[in-house]
Amino acid sequence: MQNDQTLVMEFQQSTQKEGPFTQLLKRHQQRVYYQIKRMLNNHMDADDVAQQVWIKVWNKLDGFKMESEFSTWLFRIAYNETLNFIQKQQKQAGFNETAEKIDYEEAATGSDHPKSTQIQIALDRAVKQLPEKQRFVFMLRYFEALNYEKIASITGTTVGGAKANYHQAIKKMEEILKQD
Amino acid sequence: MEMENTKKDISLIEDKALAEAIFSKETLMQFNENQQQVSSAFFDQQQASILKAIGQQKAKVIVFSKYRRMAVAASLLAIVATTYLYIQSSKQTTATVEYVKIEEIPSEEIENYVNSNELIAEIDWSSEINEEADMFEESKIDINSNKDTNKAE
Repeated sequence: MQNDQTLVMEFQQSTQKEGPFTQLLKRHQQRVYYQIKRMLNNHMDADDVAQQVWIKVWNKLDGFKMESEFSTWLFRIAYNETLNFIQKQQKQAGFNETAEKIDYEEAATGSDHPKSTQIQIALDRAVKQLPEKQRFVFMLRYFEALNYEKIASITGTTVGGAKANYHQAIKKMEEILKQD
Repeated sequence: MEMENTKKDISLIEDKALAEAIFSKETLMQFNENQQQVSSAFFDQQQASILKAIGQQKAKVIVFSKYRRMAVAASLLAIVATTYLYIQSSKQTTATVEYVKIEEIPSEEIENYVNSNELIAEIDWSSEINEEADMFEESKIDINSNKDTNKAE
């Protein structure tokens, strides 16, 4: 089985790019989607953003210099696309507290979450109230078990900054839970 | 290296423990499971959509470059044609100047030209002379009539 680096090189050197690209897509597709879904908490939006990420990967992969791992580069694109999507959404709708509250309830009791308990609703709410960067770092660390070097590279910060983001996220979620 | 990895593992376990102290491990796992609930065919469909979108994008680029190539070819053709026409027209002007050499014109033609122009000149001159003569006659009559009236007074 070819590793990411070999597939990237094959993509860059070949005119038949679909083959290596499809292999990279199959290998990382789920992790990218899950990370975006954890950030957006909406299947349709996560699907749209994930597709945008892969189209961007196709367009930019020829220029990828392999200074980092492919997966790090991929998650950096996913991070940027997710932040862009959130910003666009906030601009379109205007940040409305009431709407947000309704959204939590829908998210927690909707079809995507059939077995929601009080504590799960609280977790959903806490996660959604985190600043985007802290949320992304928390998801990468807790659910993807990435090291801080990689997280720092994805989010464009230092290792210290990434660690601080994780701990701030924990602290903030604790505060939100106490308020509830 | 192994020690470093173990250190990293411990750090990860510690970080996870911080989150699990607030929300239980089960709650966090449930959260993750909820996020991962998709239909079994979802990833195949997503893959197909991505490859389709990329295919359409490629087709657009090809069509665009086709039109672009045609536009460039048309512009080049226009430039070449304009230059050719310009050169041809300037050549023709020079040629006219070259062909009008008096030595090469047959003497008969020159004579014809001079004669015809002389005729025109003569016609012009005679009409002018006649006009002047008429005017002179008229003025003469006027002077005579003035003299007659003065005598009568």
